[in-house]
Amino acid sequence: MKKAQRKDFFVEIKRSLNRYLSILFIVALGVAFFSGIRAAEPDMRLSADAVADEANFMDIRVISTMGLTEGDLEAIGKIEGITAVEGEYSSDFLCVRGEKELVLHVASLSSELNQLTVKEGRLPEKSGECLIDEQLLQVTEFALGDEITLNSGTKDPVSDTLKRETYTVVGIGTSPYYLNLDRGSSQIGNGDVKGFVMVPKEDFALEVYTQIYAAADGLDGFVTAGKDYKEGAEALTEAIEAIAGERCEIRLAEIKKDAEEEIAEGEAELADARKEAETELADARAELLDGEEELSDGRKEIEDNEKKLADAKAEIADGEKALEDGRIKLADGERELSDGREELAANERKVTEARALLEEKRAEFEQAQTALAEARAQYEAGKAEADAGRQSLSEARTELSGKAEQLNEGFAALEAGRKDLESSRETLEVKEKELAALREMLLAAGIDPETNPDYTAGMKALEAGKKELAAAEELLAGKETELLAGQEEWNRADELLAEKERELAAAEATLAQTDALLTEKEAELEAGRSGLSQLAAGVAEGEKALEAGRRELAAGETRLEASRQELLDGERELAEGRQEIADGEEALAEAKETLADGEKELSDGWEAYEEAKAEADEKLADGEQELADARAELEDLEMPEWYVLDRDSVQSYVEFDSDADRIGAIGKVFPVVFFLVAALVSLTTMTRMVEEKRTEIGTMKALGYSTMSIASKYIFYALTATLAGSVLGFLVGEKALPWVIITTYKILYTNLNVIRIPYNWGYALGAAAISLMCTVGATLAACLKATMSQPSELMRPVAPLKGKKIFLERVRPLWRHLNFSWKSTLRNLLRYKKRLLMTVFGIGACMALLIVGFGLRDSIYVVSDKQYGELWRYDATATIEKDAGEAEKAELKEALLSDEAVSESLAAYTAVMDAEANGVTKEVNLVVPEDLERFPDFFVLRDRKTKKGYSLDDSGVIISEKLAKYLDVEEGDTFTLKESDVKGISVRVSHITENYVYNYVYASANLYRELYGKEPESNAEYLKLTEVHKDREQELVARLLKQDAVSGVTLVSDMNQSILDMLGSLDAVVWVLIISAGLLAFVVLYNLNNINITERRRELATIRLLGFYDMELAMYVYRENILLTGIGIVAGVFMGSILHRFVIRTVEVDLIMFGRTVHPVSYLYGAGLTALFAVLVNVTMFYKLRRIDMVESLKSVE
Amino acid sequence: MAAFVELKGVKKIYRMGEVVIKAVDNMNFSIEKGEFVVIVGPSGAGKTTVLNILGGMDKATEGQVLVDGVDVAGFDNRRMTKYRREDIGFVFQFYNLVQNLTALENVELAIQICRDHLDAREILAEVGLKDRMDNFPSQLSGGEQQRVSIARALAKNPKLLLCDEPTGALDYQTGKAILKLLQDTCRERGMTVVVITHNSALTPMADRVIKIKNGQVSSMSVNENPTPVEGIEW
Repeated sequence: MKKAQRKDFFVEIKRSLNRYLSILFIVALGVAFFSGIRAAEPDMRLSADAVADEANFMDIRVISTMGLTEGDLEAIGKIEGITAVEGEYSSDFLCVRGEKELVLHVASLSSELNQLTVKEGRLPEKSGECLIDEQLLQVTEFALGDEITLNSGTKDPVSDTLKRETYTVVGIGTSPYYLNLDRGSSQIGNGDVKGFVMVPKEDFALEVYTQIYAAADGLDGFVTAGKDYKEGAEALTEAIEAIAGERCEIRLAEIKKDAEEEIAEGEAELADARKEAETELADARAELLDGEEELSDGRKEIEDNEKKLADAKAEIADGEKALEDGRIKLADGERELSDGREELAANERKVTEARALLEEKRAEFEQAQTALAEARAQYEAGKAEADAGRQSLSEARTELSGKAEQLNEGFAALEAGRKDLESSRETLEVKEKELAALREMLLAAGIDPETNPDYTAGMKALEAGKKELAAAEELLAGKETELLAGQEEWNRADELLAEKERELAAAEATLAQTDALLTEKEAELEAGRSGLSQLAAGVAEGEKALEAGRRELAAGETRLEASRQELLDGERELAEGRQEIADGEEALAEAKETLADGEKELSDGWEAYEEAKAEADEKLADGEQELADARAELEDLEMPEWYVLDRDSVQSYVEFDSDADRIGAIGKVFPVVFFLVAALVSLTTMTRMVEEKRTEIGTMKALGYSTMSIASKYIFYALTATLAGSVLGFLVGEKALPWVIITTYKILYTNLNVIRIPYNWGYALGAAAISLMCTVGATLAACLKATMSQPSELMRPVAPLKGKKIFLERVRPLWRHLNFSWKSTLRNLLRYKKRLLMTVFGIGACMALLIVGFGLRDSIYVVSDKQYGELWRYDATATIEKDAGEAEKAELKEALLSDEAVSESLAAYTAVMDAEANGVTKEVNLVVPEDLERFPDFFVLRDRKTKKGYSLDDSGVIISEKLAKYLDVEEGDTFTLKESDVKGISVRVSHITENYVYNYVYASANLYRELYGKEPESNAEYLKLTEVHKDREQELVARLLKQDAVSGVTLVSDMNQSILDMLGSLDAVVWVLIISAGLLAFVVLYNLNNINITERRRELATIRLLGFYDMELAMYVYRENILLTGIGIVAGVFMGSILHRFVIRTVEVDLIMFGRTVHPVSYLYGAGLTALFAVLVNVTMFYKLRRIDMVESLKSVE
Repeated sequence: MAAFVELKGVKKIYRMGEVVIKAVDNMNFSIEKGEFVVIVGPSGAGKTTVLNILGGMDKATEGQVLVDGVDVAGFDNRRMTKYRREDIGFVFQFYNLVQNLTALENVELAIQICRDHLDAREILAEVGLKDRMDNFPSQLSGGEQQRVSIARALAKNPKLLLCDEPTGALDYQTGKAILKLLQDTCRERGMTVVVITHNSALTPMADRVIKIKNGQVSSMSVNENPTPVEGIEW
């Protein structure tokens, strides 16, 4: 390249950075996916291998039908190529933790091979310590320092295998032997081994190794599943198998020798036993005879004692009689005494009463005396008072008579006054008459009287006389009043005095009476005093008599007490005598009992003797038989056999291997689709670029540049973009994708603690090469095509693609109804057919990837939904113990009927069998229900597609879909069903039923009887619960496990949960798919849109210039995109469902059938996401559209 | 009579980093309604910039652009688009027809976004394409394509018909026919037509000739008696 060209090249990249980067990223995505997912498979294997190598995992293990010896170990160790050998003891045990019974695989700790990874604590160092499986922590709680106690789960004691039963947990870890959660199965407990327990080798009591592990040097560094490894392992296997024959012979010889020795020993033992038995029997017989003698002695003694006892009893009877007499006497005495006591008490009462009377009387007397004295004194006082009164009365009477004399004198004076007065008045009246006559005379004389001095003097003297008379009159009246008052007062005083005199007379009468009374009383009192002294004398006498009575009584009591004591003594003696007799009787009874026991013992002894004799004989006979058997067995002893197995026989590695295969299968499909799209898109982009640069190419050509020289710019452009993209995709993809996938698988393979993701050049180089071929090839082709033309032709504008009528226009009615915009859109779409195809394919691929992603989840969740939700209508299964008795089974039935949580139960016979047809053998579960009528309540049998139900009848068996596919049988065909070693029986398939988990064969009881000629004895109960409540479920399980007949209970919800857990890990894969689909859609759409816009820049500028708003302009382009997205989505639905079906078939596990259909909602999700991606791209495009320069439209066509 | 189109002190300055290019520097001219105007000038004189500014494709850095009394220079993007879709008809040098649409559909493309438009069929008949309506551009000759282009512009019933070198890609005769169509349109419809060309031979047919040089109007003259197209030769 010339300098100008170089510059042109860089400017070109800078100017079209979008395009350059989009090619780069498309290629990067394609390469990342192609190489990343493809690399996942080998990376998975490498990682598993790394786990194995780091733990020094065995390459070969040898198992023998008769165990392996130290000699075997040495012999294997000597084989060339073997670097390490180690023997392992192992056995399964049961361990009860809480409510759970766990099956544990106990193995001896190895020193070199199969190194454990200790997660917590340390490795066991001494006897009694153990390391437990980390997975056990998932099942129940364990902590360092816990003790676990093992039991064998069979009739054999633990000590047959292990030296001790109890171990202390000192470590928790993982073993390289188990990559995943599966720990295999066992014949004890519920058969499901929950985890391993590692104990020191010396704790095992086994004589021979259970298996021998061997490692070979030459195999390190090879991937386990690889061809090199397999060849190496096969060579080793052959080498070991070569010595197997010899070792087996040695082993057989050893066993024979041991057995012969044992037989000899047995014979000696038997002889010893016989001798011993005989001696023992003889001894026993002698002892029994001695016993009989002793017994007869005893009997005699008892008779003697009985006689003695009868005598004693008679004596006692006499004593009792005497005692009875004494008791009567005593009672009499007591009665007398009590009478005396009563009398005395009466007398005492009398005396006391008398004394009280005396006291009372005396008091009365004294009181009367006092009262009398007082009365007398009163009387004296009264008399004195009366005498005084009489004296003062007579004095008053004298005074009063004086006063009466005075009064009479007054009255007399008054009368005299009045007489004087009357005389003066008569004088006056005369004088007046004289005067009146003078007056008349004077008047008649006609002299004025007044003037007459006589008359006036007379008048004046009259007047004075009159006045004097009035005054005297007044004075007399006053004296009269005074006298009248005095008269009255005197009268009153007289009356009062008379009253007083009457009163006094009364008082004196009373006094006289009182005096008489008093004198009477005093006489009475005197009489009382003499009576009193008589009474006192009587009382004193009574008291004396009382004292004498009391003394007499006391003497009587003393006498009585003495006789009572006597009586008590007699009684005690008697009681003692009686006790003695009772004791004697008891002793006698005991002696009799002892005698009876002795007799019984003796007879038992005889019986035992007979039994022992019989037993001994039998045992001896058995021993002889055993010996004979052993001898026979020894004769029949077969050659032991060795099984030499490599890592391919380790289940978790085999499973991991098939998982890796499955990822490999996905890796073959997905990336191809992805890569195809990427390659096509980058191809279109480059072709388009060259076409765009026509004029430039023409100019260059005209300037004389050679074709290659011109093409080199574009080729470099494509080359650098593709190379850079490849490297980027390789670097990121090969690390990230395997990492995501392996990490996802770690959910299942918990022990996969190493992730190896080396760069794998092969895939990357292939991918890069194809990318380069696509882009560079396309560029070259386009350049060649361009340079083929003449420069002049090139420089002329390219004839624009001709518009033409499209076929739709011929459908007139439809076309007419389309609006203008859609018409132009449709024409545009069909004009750019290449773009249409690319876009539809890109969007379709995106949609398909999304559908596969979502569909994968759907298909897997169908298992849980349909199997556990629709097909299996029951909630739990109880497995019945193989050797459960009828009574125990009946008890279980009863318990199920009465249990509240169980609404219905169905008994069935179940068995694991082998189904064989067309050369394929599959393990199947046979279910023979007891009750055909209720069977559909528990199991729904139907066609998967038509949902048509099937019922079980006697015409044939119903088998599950996947089994039918494996065996390649159809309805009406027959296949062979065999139970372990029994010869297969041919059965006819009546229907094929929908089923997702395990392989099932359902048969009616009649058919089973007919086929196998035996009764299908129920060994499982299918249960429906009333309340599907987690807590209640667990309670029910615990209740059921307590039943003797139940050996295990499986909950459908637990199974469902485990499926859900397991499948949850696939979510990551789905996310990877969704994200990659999004990226794909984005890159493809962006790129194609970019091309579209660039191609039509002029047209768009013109439209813009015509006055289209931004949105209208965008819609002009978007309409096409919307249509394309729609078509792409429809195409994607078809692509997706085909791809989904393919992927599901590839990833399916043996025992599980995934759903075949994608849920409609997933299509919606897919379409929605695809549309969303399309919208995102179009939104991004909007800004690009807005930047289109209108001036562009004015430019000349390039 | 007030000017129908008037540019007052219009400047357009492009800045490209350090370099400042004055494409149009203080341009002033005015156009009367119904005039046939020819803007002529050598390449790089600023003709296209004037066209861009007048056509609402670009904004003047400074100055006023009055179209029918409204200052277009101050429009925002949206109003600018509205101005383009309703007031301006464009005729391009290279016709710029959408190849995928027929002649009729190309016209419809323009009028479907325009409120006050004319009938597409009628206008196509008027430009002489009555029988070619359903043909795709590739089936039409250059002159016919330019007629479609003119019909598309006229159908919008614009205030101003802007023609950018309408004859640039056509041969002499066809070019003349197109110019005649434009002149007739101007006369018969009273449409204001602005033709931008570097060909000064066209000036006699114009009512008004605006000569541009170095981003400025070097001269403006009004032809009292414009020559009919038939009389012009170049």
